[in-house]
Order: sequence, then structure tokens, then C-alpha cells
Amino acid sequence: MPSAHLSDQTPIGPASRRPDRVRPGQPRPTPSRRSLPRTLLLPAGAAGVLVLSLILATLFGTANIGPADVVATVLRHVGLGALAPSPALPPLLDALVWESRVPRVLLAAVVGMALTVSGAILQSVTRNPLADPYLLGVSSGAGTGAVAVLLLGIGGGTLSLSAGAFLGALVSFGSLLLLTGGGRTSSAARVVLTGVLVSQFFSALTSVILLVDGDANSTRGFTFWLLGSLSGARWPSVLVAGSIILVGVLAVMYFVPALDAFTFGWDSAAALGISVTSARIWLMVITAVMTAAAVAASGAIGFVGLLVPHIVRILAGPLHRGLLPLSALVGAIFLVWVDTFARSAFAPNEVPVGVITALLGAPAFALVLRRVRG
Amino acid sequence: MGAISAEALTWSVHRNRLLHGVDLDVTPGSVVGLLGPNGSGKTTLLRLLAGLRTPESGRVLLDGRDLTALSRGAIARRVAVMEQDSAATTGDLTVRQVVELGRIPHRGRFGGPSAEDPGIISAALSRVDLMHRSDAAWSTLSGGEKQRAQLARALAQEPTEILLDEPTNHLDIRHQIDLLELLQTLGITCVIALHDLNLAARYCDHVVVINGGKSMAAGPPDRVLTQELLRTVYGVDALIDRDPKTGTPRITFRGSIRE
Repeated sequence: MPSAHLSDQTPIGPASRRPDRVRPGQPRPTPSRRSLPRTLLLPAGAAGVLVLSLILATLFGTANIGPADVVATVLRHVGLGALAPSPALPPLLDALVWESRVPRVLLAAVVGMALTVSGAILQSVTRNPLADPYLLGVSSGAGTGAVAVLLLGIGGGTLSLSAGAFLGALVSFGSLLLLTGGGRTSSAARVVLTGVLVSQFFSALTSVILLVDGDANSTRGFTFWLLGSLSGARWPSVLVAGSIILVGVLAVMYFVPALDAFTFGWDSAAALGISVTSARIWLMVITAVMTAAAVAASGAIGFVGLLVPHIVRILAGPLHRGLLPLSALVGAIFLVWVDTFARSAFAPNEVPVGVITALLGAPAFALVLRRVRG
Repeated sequence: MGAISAEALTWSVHRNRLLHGVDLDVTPGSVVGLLGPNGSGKTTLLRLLAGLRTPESGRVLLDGRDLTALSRGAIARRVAVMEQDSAATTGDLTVRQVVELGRIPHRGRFGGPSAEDPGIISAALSRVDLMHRSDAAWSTLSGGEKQRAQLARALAQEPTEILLDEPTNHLDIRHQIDLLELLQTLGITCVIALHDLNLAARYCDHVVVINGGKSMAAGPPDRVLTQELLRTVYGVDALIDRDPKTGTPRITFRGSIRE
């Protein structure tokens, strides 16, 4: 028996051509030359656009505030008042910017980030280009959890609406996993249909609780939340959702090789050295937690996780080391602007942002479906 | 040169025994053909050899070490697998990106491509004659091109053993011959599930015939592929003579045997 050698340097067949690649004076193959700056330029550009979007979106609304006022107000509140480019705003306007608009714009950014990254991951982990946290029923589970806490008093007052939504999202995601055999099913149709099933079941449950226990007022407020709205954004929810989501987005970067390896299925990924079961469980759990955090803060905003990753794939390609960072940034930019539109286009009325994303997302779903068929 | 072997492998699905104590002894660097009718257990055997399933009893040895004692990553740096049908989740990957997946076992966590990767990927693409298609989207490839791209991905893994499940499916006759000749020149151990007995006779150093989950015969093709064996295993009547030029067995099928 030959001696054991499980090292990388084993000289073998295809390796006999390896010396070619270090031949001096030979140009490197084009993809490395072209894709390297691209992988850096795209996220850097998107990060710049995101910062600009955050400032500009804060300007939208009834009061007349300039970009310098926004920057100055934010700097003053984080203790960097000395750097502020303009004098302080009157207290009323200051409160409007700092207590209402800034948290709302930031919440839009982190929720957009969470939904988009979750969508991109679910598409890889379920091997299904139509996967989206909303379509898979996670959001409606969150709705049921929130209603159950508020109206049925589950948790005896120790649980907030957000905590109820968070638990509901985890329960519905767990149901989806159980019904699809631990997510082992690779049939796209079955995963989507199971999502519809879970979604309908929890919606019905929410309706029953609302009809039995709700009065007209709580029902109306709830419908707004269920449609997905960022109008309730306050600093505490922004900080909680934001920190969960940012940690989640960083954590999934650890699984980039696994997400790419899933392209040709579980056996193929295992043959590439991926511990498939543990990677899939971790990714599902992180996705569920990020989605639950987003839904708890904003209600059910649909189709963002479907729409944005497919657009980003056109720019960054399908490999996840490019796709995930850019998805996070573009998802944030996308929801910041859609929410700005939702709250200012029909002023003084506000449209729930989930309605706008569904109006954009449903046609996108049809397009993706066509491509999957073709 | 590494060595892969199997001892008394048994495997069942739903109490249905698919493999009964199969042994496999492979000379390092040789091309081994796994032959047998549909459903005989060839694919199952390949999966066990790749460590994708854990045998019910028996064991697979890589350089004398039990596969179950090795990490997935350590196995993947040694053994590459080319599956029979590979459907991609998205059709957006380019051929080069598909081949790049073969570098995953050699990367750390969070790892991007190393400086060596582009050269290794290009070499693998040239070997399967797909360099001109490297920027083509996966969804635009023909069945044969997909098969060759998967082989390039396996080669990019820089394996010492490569396991192939019906690699000649979807290939026209020229690419079937090219692929098997390429495997011969790699100088690494190849275990190939094959349907075409004439190709097996011509290109394999060693063949193992499996039927009903049992190993029926093993050895050089000219000793294993007999009229009697084809009758019992495949239920066909065949004439076996020698190719006048290469001296390898040549099989002419004359009809099936009804009993």
C-alpha cells in the first residue's frame, strides 16, 4: 500500500500542465484581469449610492430641509456636532429628522438588505430561483405571531408585537422545512406550493384571531402592518433589527463556497468537500432569523427577495462572493427609494410599501418563471 | 500515487439491498470500467466510493485509510466525481465559472480565487476542448458540452481518483472516444460506469461486472468479457472476436435470449 498523502501538492494528471500558468511574460487569462476590479468597483459604487440615498431620502416630506441640515442633525446626535456643516435646526424640525425620518430610512435600508440577502440564499439553498421569504410564508407566520401576542395575550404581556412576529416567522419557517422534508426537496414547484400552503394557513389563522378578538381599530392598524409598512420605524426597532441583520449578513459570507457548490445539487456539493447538511441548516436558520427580524419591524414586505437578487445577478454574476455583498447594498437602496415613493407620492396619504413592492414584484415573478421554463 | 479500494460494501434503500458485499481493488493510475445492466448498482457503488453515502457494512479505503475517518474537504482534494445528469439551479453560470467550482475544495472559508486558479481552470478547459466556449452561459450548452464542462470541473479539482457515472451519455462517438482517450492519458485512477462494452474493452485496463448488486467478475477485459458472461448478466447472445489492429475484444450482438 502506498504511503498516505492527502496533501494539496500531490503531483497528478492535470497538474502536469500546471507549469504553464506561471510562464513569465504570458498574459493572464482575461477573466482574472476583468473581474477583479469589477468585484471591488461594484460594491464600492453601490455603497456610495447607498449613503447618498440615505441622505436624499431623508429630505422627502412636507417640511423644507436641505441635505446639509440632515448631515448636521445626524452628526449632532451622534456627538460629532463640531463637524456639523450648518447651524442647528429648530427643535420641532430636529425631532422630525432625528426621531422620524432618519430611523425610517435606516430601517428601510436594513429591511431591504435582510429580505434581499435572504432571497438570494433561499434561492441557492432550495435550488429554486423563485424562492423569496414572503412567498414561502415566513411573513404571514410573523403576522399570526404578532396578532396572537396583541389580541390573545399570549406570553402574558412579556412579549412585544415584535417578539411575537419573530416567533411566528420561525414557526412558519420550521413548518415549511418539515413539509419539504427538511428542505431536502429540490423540486422548485413543490417548494413554492408548500410556501403557498404555509402562507395561506397562517393568513387564515390571523383572520380568525382578528375576527374573533379584534375591534375595528385594531383590525385596521393590523391590516396596514400586514401589508408591509415602515411607518412605525423608531430607534429601538431600528437598532434591534439592524444589529441582527448586519450580523446575519456577515455570517452568511462564511458560507459562500457552499452556496456556489449547491448549483449542481447536494451530491455534487458534497463531492466538492461541503458538509451539505450542516451548511444548509445554518443557512436556513440565519435566513429565518434575519427575515423574522425584518418582518417584526416592518410587516410583510413581499417580492424584494425575489426581484433584487435577479437584477443583481445580471450585474455581478451568479457566484455568491460577488452576488451577496452587492445584493445587500442594492436591496437596501431599493427599499429606501420604494419606501420614499410610498410615503411621498400620494401625500398626504401613505401607501403601504408592501403594496408597491408587490406591484413591481409580481410582474418580475412572471418574468423569472418564464426564464425558468425556457 | 494514491490508491482506492473497497471491501465487502453493502448498501440498501428501504430494505431493498442494492449492493451485496462488493469488493474493489484498483491498481493506482489505471482505468477501471464498472459494467452491468441498468439498476445493477453501478451508481450506488460510485457514490459509496466517493464517500457521498456511508456503507451499511464494509468500507472504502483511500491509501489504506477508512473514508469515514477523513473530512469531506480532505476527500474532495483527492477524489473528484462526475455525475450522470447535472441540472444547474440557474443557467446563468458561464462554463469558466462552472469549472471554477472545482477549485472550492482547495480554498479556505471566505476564500476567493487564488493566483493559481485561473491557470488551472484554463488548463482544464483546454483539456476538454472547451476553451472557445469558456464565456458561454451554461443554459446555452449542448448535452455533450455540458458533459465536457463537468469533466473539466472534475479536473480542476486536481484529483488523484476520478469517478465517472456514464460519462459518455449525450456525447457523439468522436467525443466519447476523445473522453476515454483523455482519461487514459491523465495517469490518475479512473473508475467509470459504462454501458458500451466495446468502449470498455478498448479503453479500460480492468473491468468489474456487477449484476443485482453483486460483483460477477473482475479482471482485464479480454478475460472477463466472455460469451457466457454476456449471456448470464445481460441476457444477450454475442460474438466475441479480436480487433485485428488493437487486439482488444470486439463484441457483436446477435440478439437477446428469451428463456
